[in-house]
Amino acid sequence: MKAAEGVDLTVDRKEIVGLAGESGSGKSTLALGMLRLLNPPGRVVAGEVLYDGVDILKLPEKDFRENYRWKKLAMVFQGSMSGFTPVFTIGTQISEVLKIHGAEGSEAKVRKLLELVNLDETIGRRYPHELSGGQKQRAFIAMALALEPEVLVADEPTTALDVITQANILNLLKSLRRDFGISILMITHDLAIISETVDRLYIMYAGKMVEEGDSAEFFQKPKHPYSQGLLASTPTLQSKEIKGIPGFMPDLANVPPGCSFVPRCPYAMEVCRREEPKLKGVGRERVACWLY
Amino acid sequence: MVRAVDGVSLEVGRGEVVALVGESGSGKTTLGRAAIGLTRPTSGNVILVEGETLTNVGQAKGRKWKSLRRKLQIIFQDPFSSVDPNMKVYDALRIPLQAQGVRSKQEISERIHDVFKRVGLPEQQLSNYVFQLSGGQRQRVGIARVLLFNPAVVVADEPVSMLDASLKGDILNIIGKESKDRGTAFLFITHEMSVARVIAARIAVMYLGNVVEVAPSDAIIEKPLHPYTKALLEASPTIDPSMRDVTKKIGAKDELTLSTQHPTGCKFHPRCPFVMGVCKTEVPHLKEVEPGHWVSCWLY
Repeated sequence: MKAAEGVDLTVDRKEIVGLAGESGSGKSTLALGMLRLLNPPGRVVAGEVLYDGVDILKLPEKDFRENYRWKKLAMVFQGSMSGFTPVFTIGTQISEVLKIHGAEGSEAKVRKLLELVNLDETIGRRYPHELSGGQKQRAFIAMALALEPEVLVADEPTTALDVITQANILNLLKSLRRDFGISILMITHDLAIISETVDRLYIMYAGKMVEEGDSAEFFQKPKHPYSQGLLASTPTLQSKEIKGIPGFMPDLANVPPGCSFVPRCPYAMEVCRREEPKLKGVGRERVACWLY
Repeated sequence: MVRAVDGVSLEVGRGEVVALVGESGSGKTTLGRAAIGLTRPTSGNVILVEGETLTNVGQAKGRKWKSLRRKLQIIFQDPFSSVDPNMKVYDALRIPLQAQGVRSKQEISERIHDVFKRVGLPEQQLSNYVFQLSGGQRQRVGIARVLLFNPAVVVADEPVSMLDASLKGDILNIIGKESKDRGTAFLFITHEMSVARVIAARIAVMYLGNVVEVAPSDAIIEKPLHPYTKALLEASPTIDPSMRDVTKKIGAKDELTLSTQHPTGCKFHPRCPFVMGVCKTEVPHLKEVEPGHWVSCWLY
């Protein structure tokens, strides 16, 4: 079963890039694969992950761990809220990360990190269970930033947080890019969040990239029929109705030939059923669809 | 002791969909469950008005309670745990009917096929096992199960929160249609304002156990009065790429550290940008500020 195939994704310095897709699209598997976090039996079958020209997939574990993980590439996941162990204080855990990587793990340093994410220094003395969901997520972001990484990969960083806290966390991520030049790969199913946060985006469907490009252009005129359907399914406060996309995403273990969106596509043609479309430039985007 | 729900007064009419909007910990689920008697309130009543008969749901017992149960139903948030995956779909619908005393195999079959059509599922699915269905399909089965009894009141507890965006619209349409065609009253619980606007005629906003504002949906969205409602609306993500480098203005601080004590006075005061002296000590009450528009806040 191929969770993701033929995917090409780039994040530049100081860029915020979005990776959007629904459950079963392969986006989370892609992220885990990129960060060498796939648990067996999952594995990366082919491809490279180039960080400043270096293929980090091929590095020996020690090298990756000492030079890249946490130091250059940090991650914040949806389960971040359980990313802390309950038996140590927040401050202790953050300072551990610092010390293990040979940096100074002082209280002052921890306090500075907590300040960065708008958390009171007293949070350092608390245990994870004493914090609210939003505070824990912020604390995890603080920990992810401990070694001043260049890239932050955030997988559904605000799901399960209340709307107001979510907005505050997104503001925080934007300020990290603005003030520290950190690049962010934001992975989420929520197109509304993506629209308010990213410069460029990628849309995945059934393990393939179906549309990618400039965010403003995408939201003005999404090109792939799936993107159009997804956008129509995303309610805003002004929506009078919420459409859906009829049908269901195909079972990744049983993908039929041709374009995987055919059963749900209002524009499906003969060629779509026979041959899988490749990404092609259209405007400031690329789309994988026979309509173009 | 924490009062999950405190001093709430709400009416839902026949064929009406009222949305209960709040975040986790607001008490909306507790209120919803109390509304159909799944949780007995420590004080207060839930009055069901059918025709001319008034029935106090909280007081019903025995056979009276059993017959009421048919009319008061709930759709749960998580389709993966609310419908037993190890059953055949047909049985997931047959068993509740038999539990309520329906004996005739013919009648059971007819009613099942009828609700299945109403929720837009193809008949072949009836012979599948629930575990073979996707989340969206299971949620439809959960709804079909509720509709079997043509209930008077349905509490829908975040019925689309766990579904992918492309599947929400259809579920919302099913609910809208049932309320219009059958006169079923829905108490639709959600944390998303945009969904509430689409599905409900009226929205009640809850915060830490209190209803802080109630008004027709358009009024809540276009003319919110309570600072919490305003903050919720400001914070709601919307499709707006021009925001990408902009810090959103949010009119409320983050949720408080977990605590077993609610704040004194108005529970929102520690987070409120308009807090005044009275807010810290006195609890405000719902006041009708404009026809049909109620708000609980010392600013009014």
